[in-house]
Amino acid sequence: MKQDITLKVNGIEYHLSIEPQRTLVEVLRDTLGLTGTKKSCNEGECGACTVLMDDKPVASCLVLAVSAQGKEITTIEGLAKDTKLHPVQEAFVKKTAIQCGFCTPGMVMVAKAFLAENPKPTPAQVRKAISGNLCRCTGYQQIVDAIMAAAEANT
Amino acid sequence: MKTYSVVGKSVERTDARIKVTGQAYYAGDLTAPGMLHGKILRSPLAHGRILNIDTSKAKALPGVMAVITGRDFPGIPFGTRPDIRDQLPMPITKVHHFGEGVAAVAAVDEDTAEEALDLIKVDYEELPVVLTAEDALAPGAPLVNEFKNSNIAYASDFMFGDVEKGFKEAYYIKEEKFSSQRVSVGFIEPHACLAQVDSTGRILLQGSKQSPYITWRHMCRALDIPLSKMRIVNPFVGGGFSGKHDPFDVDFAAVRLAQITGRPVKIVLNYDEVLAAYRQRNAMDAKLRIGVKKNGEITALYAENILEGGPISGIGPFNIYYFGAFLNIPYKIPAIEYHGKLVYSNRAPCGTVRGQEIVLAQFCIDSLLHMVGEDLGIDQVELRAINAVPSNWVCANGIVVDVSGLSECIEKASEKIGWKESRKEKKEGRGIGFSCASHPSGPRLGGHFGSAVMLKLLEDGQVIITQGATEIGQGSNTVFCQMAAEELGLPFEYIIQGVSDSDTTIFDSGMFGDRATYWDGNATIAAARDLKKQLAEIVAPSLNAKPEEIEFENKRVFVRGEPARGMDWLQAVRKAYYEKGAPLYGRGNWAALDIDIVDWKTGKGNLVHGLDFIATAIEVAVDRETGQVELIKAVHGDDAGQPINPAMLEGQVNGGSAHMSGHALWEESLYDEKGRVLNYSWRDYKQPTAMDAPEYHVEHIHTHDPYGPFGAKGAGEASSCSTIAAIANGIYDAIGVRIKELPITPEKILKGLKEKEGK
Ligand code: FES
Ligand code: FES
Repeated sequence: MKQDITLKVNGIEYHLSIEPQRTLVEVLRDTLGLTGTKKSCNEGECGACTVLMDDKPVASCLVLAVSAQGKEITTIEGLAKDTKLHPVQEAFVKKTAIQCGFCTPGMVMVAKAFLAENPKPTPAQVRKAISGNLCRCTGYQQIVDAIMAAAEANT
Repeated sequence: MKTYSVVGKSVERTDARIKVTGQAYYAGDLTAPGMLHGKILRSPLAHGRILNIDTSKAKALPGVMAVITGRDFPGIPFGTRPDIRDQLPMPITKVHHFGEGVAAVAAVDEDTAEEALDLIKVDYEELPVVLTAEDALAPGAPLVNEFKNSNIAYASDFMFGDVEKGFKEAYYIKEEKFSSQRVSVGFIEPHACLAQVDSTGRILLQGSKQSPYITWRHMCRALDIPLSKMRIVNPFVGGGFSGKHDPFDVDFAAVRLAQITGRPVKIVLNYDEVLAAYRQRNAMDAKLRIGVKKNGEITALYAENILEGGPISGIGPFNIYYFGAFLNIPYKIPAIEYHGKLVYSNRAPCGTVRGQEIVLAQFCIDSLLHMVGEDLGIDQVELRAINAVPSNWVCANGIVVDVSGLSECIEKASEKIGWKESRKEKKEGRGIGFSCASHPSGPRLGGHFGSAVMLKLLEDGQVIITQGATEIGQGSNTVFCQMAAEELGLPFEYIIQGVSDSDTTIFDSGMFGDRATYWDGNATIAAARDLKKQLAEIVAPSLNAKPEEIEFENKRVFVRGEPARGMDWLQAVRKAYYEKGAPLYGRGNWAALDIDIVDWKTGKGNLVHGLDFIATAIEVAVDRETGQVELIKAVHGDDAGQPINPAMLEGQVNGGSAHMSGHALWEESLYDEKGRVLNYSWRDYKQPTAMDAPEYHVEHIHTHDPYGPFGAKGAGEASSCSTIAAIANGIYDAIGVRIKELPITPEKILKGLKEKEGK
């Protein structure tokens, strides 16, 4: 039985009819076509599906879409303003923190939320913040460098 | 040395902005009108005869459009080479490993497809499992692969130089055994594909493929169709690391289901399926004996190695050769004897993983070298420096080293990690380990092996580049754009990356072994020269010059030595288009014709050009109470010739090293006695996180390779090869415990400490 819900994603309200067992990542990707949010493990272990819910990072594979109602959801598609990247995105580009890019959306979302709370972090704090997001390509160094650079650009 | 304007600069990746905004579409993101969703039913047994598969109930479920099994394919086996065609799209008579796909469903949505899987009834007769190399080689062992009448999938044996004499001359001989575990490849994007078949029967496959043309060839063979009946287009790929070369049941099933239903079929795996049933690294059992002079100079090496590789050969025969071949380098070893076997088993199939089996060979030899150094009281850095291969070196097996920066790599790594200082004052529980490695720039394999590039000149002066090499995250596209820009005298932004599409791009042998930069890089230069030649012929008459006199630089086309006597690039392009009606394409190809096709069985031949080198130093801290290892800092002295994009190269080096730190310390795919995988989720299979990885530093040692594009060598995989031994040696340096069986778990460390204290 489908259920009518309202989701606010990247500032836009969507009225949807979905099955109540649908997770947020499924609705974002399959219903709204926002495929920037990636899905891999579907059990909260890789962080690829990270989005922000009221500015807090969540694994969208663990959140039911119905329970995301009434929250401000931000996905990777909602960060850049036209062609102007968000400072965290810009830092990822400039610091060569992207390789295959599959972990990138999740990493960027976590980093954005983290820097909002911790504007002047240490590299160790950054590492801890992104430790729920797996990357196999980069060895993390340039991702850490990018997040540090984004923090510096902000001060 | 020539100064470059684009090469050697850390320009932004061509795809960085696309990826960082979520606009990069991977296979799992694709859709097509009328698309169905596919799911795969997996075997609960590691080894069993398939007696019957009843799909009638599944087929009757509303919303199910088709159900297939192995019998829906022509039954033609495929494999890397003609002598090792030992796999089928999906099994027909028996299952070979836990999680092997036995049937597949296409339905209107994923839930229905999932429900249909539960309605398929498979009758199996359980067979005894072959789990280890020992099981496989036991007399009367059950046979794993139905196309082979032995569990030995391949063997490689060779002897180079006078081994007997070498051991006679040795002042000291040491022999040790080493072993390694099954590890998963670990890319983050699971296998996925979208297959479509048009009304003429032509197939379009868009999958997460590292080497789409390997997939394409194998699939057409196993589907019994000509190559022209299938088109393969690569979307963005979320990492490969050698785990996405060949076609899998995912690809075959999607295509077959699309053929039967006439509708597009997409299959996207969940990651637990990947961890349970797809490519892993072979488990190793090796024995090495080394002879050295009093000063540590190696006189001879003897090695035996058995790789347990799962139920199919895959690229395994190459792995078993590679292990032996790369014992010959990066150290000077005048004589070497090697006996390697690849055996079948009922574990997940193996391909290879980042760094190939050099990773394992180097773990063995650099661990052994460290032990020799300890026994003889030789400094670890000196020991490596004394044995490092120099330029113009011919290895015992015939591999020719043109340029080696290894000595400088060792020097830089030891300096930056603070080796000398660390010897003066040793901190409790802290240690530094070293390992070196060499990795080739793409071997020459049999069959089609060249690389080709095409440049299409647009009317607005921009150039679209397409090449057989595929971008899987390593950054090859950016590197080719840089090279094309450099050679054409254009800014980097003038080169636009085209799509990898078998209808329009020229084929390539595959994306492996650090070959892209080198092979496709040379092809890029050739293509750019071809384009320039055509343009020069059009422009020269109006400049009263000969075409050979025309130069290209700074977006200008002019007569050599007289920059003012020329025209802007765009003007030249317009001349071609508007005055001559000549749309221009530059074509180039490259293949190392002067190197040998190595015989994997005998190891004979000069395998490659462009050997890159690395010296890795890793500082570790070991907790004596818990046995936990912390990686503090890693320094890589890296000789990749002329770095084309230093920042991207660093990312490759760091990535390979972090990847193998998981192999060294945390990762292991565990199997129970029935061959069932126990830890097929990332909850239980631990890949390194940002907190596990150390701080990385890369020191570029610039050399100039005589055959490489702009002097570059292949790059990126060497750090995978040097990391494990550096960690093992660092642990020994910290607490005096030597672990020779991977992974180096806290339990093994605590046991080692206990034994040591008991002595
Ligand atoms: S897909 Fe959600 S955490 Fe992995
Ligand atoms: S960039 Fe490939 S997984 Fe992180």
